[in-house]
Amino acid sequence: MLRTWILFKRNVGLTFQVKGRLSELVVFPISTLVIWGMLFSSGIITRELIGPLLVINILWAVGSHAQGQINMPLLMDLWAREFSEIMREGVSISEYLMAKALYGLSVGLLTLTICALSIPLAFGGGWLELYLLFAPMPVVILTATALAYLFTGVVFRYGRAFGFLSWTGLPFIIMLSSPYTPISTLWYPLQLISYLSPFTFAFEFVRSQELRWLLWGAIEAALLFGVCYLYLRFAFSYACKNRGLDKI
Amino acid sequence: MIATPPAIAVSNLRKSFKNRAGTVEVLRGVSFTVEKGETFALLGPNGSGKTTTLNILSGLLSMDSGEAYLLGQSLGSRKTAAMVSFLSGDSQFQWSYPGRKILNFYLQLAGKSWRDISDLIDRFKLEQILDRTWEEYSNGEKTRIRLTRALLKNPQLIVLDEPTVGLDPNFAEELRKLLKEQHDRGTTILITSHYMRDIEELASRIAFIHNGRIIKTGTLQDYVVPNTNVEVTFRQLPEQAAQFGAVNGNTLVTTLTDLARVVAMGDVLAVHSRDEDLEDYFIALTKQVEESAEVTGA
Repeated sequence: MLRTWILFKRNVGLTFQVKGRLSELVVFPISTLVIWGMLFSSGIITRELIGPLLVINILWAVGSHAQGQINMPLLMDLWAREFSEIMREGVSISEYLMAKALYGLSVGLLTLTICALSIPLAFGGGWLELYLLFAPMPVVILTATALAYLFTGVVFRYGRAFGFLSWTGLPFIIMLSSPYTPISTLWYPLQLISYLSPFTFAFEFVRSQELRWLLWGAIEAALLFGVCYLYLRFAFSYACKNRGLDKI
Repeated sequence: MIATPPAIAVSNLRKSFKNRAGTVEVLRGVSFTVEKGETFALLGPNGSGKTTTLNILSGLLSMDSGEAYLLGQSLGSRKTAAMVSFLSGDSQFQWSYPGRKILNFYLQLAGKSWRDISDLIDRFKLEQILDRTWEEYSNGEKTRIRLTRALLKNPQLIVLDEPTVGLDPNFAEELRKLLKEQHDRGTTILITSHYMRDIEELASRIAFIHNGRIIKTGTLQDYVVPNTNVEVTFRQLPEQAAQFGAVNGNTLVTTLTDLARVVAMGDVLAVHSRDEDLEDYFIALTKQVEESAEVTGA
């Protein structure tokens, strides 16, 4: 646990080392809030319609940050070629990833806090929006972490060239998760694909406010996390056997 | 009396990699033992299996079969990591991180404090450079940071892969001096290098590895034979000269046996007798092994 804490502090240190990187944490949530929040508060579109869209966009921003802040520091360690140096110090891959996950969670929660405070303060949102924002958060963060582990596994298995998944993977999966329309309106085969993503359940909850969606989402997110973690362990063993950790 | 385990025990290590062309066997049963306090060198041409062996020992790569122990412990364990340091000549760190934070991170992982390494800081004159970032360091400064990082846990065993690569002669000399001091303190050292001077000055035993096999192990005296070679300097190097030994400019290092034929080849300016050193041995042995592999089709 101590090593995880040391690795976590290093992640924080690396982010704050380049002050400009702090903008990464706020640009996306703030632009999301400005674009969708203005629509929300202006009354151009009805509140019933725009409210869920605002919340879904914030959930997207939080999930994206949680996943990105797990994958990007890992990629930076691979690009800088320090990953193998850390592994040589007897740090286990579980400790290393746990630190990354804690960091991703912290950034996700920070993003959520910024957005949650901004909705009532800047755009006149109420308790309903805050409830719709906080209730699906465990599903969103768990899914984002699972996907971060999946993308990490792909990088371990196929090499650092697949690091592009860190910034393209999650938006692609969100687009398949029926973010803006009820899932029932999708073409049936697409519905089946959408149900594979726990994000779909979180978004359905926001639109319908039915808790059963969250329950199903939590079960699927937990399953997805387990599968992705197993894949990551397999990919790590594969890299140790076939490539060497210094050549990922 | 209880026998203490050797610092490094490697037995019948095998490793192969699959690529598009098929399976490449990189290690074909490597075995060697390094006793505590020894400085042991692993020599061999590029692609012979040195770095693969070191990567297996450092836990970055898993072996296909065989056994390996460091200080009696299994590879990659936390206990091993606490006692062993690995230093590669091209170890890299986060480019935007200053030396102070790099070292602080590894100090924390090792459970040490800055006070524990104050002598290293003085010795490598680090205080003036610690607040610059990794990307701002010169090669020599990077090596000073790498070395401090390797020595900060006061390891019982240091594994070095090409430690002097990219260093100017003064700093390479300083590094060798430091490694000798570590050896005098009882630290075991395993080193690979293409700079024969590193090996000649540091190693008490040397193993030659070629095509994934250890083909000879011995002391420096086993490799260096006095007055067996001659250095022949030509006005213009004959085309066939390379068949008779190692060429450097217009000078050929050859054996006494071939001297008469070599002298007859061209206009000779000077002939000097010369000890056969490790480099001569390295070149001759590599050539010999490659020739015998061609004959047997291996």
